[in-house]
Amino acid sequence: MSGQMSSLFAVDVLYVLLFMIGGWGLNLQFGTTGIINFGYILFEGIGGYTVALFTLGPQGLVAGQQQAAFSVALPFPIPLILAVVVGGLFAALVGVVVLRRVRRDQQAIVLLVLSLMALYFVTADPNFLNGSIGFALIPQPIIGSAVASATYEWVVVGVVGVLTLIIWGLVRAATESPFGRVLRAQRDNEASAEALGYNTFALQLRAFIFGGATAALVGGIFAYTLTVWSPAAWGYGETFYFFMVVIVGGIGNLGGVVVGAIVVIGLQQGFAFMPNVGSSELGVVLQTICASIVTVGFLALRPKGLFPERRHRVYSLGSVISERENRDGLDAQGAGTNAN
Amino acid sequence: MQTDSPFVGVSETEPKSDTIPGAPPAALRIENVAKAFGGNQAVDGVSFQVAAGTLVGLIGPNGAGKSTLGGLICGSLRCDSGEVWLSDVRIDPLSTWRRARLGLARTFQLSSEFQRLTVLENLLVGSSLRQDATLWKAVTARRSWQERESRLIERARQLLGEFELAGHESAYAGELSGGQRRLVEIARALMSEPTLLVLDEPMAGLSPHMVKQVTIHLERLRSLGFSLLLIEHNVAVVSSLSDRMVAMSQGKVIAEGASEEVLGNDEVQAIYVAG
Repeated sequence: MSGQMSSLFAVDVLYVLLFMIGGWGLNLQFGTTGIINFGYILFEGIGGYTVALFTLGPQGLVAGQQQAAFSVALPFPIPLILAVVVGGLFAALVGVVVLRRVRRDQQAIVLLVLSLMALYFVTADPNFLNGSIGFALIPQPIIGSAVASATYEWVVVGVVGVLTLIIWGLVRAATESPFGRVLRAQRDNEASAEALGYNTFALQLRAFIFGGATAALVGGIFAYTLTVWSPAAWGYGETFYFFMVVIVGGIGNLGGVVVGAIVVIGLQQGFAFMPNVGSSELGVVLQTICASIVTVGFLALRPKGLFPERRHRVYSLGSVISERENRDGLDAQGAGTNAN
Repeated sequence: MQTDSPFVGVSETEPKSDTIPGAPPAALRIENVAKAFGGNQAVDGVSFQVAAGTLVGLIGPNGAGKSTLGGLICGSLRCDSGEVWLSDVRIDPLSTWRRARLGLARTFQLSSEFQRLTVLENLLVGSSLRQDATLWKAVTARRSWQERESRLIERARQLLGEFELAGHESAYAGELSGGQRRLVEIARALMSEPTLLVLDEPMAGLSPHMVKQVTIHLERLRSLGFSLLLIEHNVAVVSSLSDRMVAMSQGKVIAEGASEEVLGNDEVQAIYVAG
């Protein structure tokens, strides 16, 4: 394998990992909690800008002839940690307003409008976050502005892989616990969950903050690895790629998100290797149309995705009632279940 | 209006004078509660009590204000005026979930089980494990909540056995029949060991066989000493179960007392016999 091929493959693997992390964050909000966050990409944008602002510093801004409200050069991984914190705080701010004040069926449109407002504002004001051009020459971790070797890229993939495992562990612990169970319960029937003593707003807010911080982490890593960050990276259309990950893989299924991420990146890379038909913009449009058709197709024909939400485990005195036992129980019940 | 027990009874005129010093407080006390929707006075100055360990049946025709009153008691609706007390705590200013944490459990007129949770999970959500339902504990205190959950699973299985649902614990609640779902809802409410259980039309939409089954289970709960408020359209069921009955019409209490007393009331007769 040539160095370039190795590098391209590393980038693909990296993107799959990042879409897995982002997919799990969205899955916790959407699949487990029932919040349709059409503004998910906004939090990725916040993560990317936070890394850019806390990495470039005044010298970096001058070198790239870039403008920003402020910037300070901090060593890795502080900017990435700040990205997660800022993403989580912003999610808390948005969540307090939207989750408390807006009806659930209207939250999706409010969050979409919010992300569009942020996009238009950032694009329109060149002094705040350098407008539509965004930031370039963002120093990479450790090597700064040097050209990344294939080895370096694989090290980055390895580090992101470890982060992916950590996020998987956190999301799995959250969903396979009383917390996750109650999130799923209030998703099914919010009034019932309230009547059982659960503050559903607080529960939803926690899931929203977790998802926001996760998206910001993804944005921060993207900014580091792309070395650029602009409004084009977090257009509202990008949100729907994350939804595609969850919908195709399986809403509420962590493993399904892995498959969904592979499908999305495979689709994107498949179009990258296709011969040009007309302008390069047409290729992007065709890619988006294809992704939309796949997503709508799944919603219409297989709404639970390739891997539907699993029956969740319940623990009893050290033993585990496994999915297999649950399935056996269901089989044994047979038609008697609906006898009445 | 005369009452047999100082703990149970309507007292629209004397809302706070019907308890004996040293006696246990009423499980539920409603005092001059009112609620209007626009120009429609859905509940108009209603007062009554549910004594601890008794079953009070609340009857009335459609539009009488029964379910609105249920919403006012449980917190899904807010009172325009009046007070609602759970034992010795005034709960009408509190949110639904805070009322539930104080020991007020309810079932809904429409099935409200968590459809995509198994029957066992439904009951566990209803349990006192709610203090473990945090993201922090999910990540950091797995062993401790698992131990607590193990004990609650045993209790849930016991309840499922009592409600003849033992064979269904691994089924999704949404896969059960209407009557079974109603039983799951009641069992789920009991998992929280409530001070008071409000049952809103538990017989609605059930087959005669399931009505009989649910009635048997409610009778058992009553004999076990649970405090119950049964809001129900089916007068025969309510009269057979209730220690006392309250009849409502057009947002007001029109009769209250023992079953025979209420059913013999002229206004109630007019509504249920002549009407």
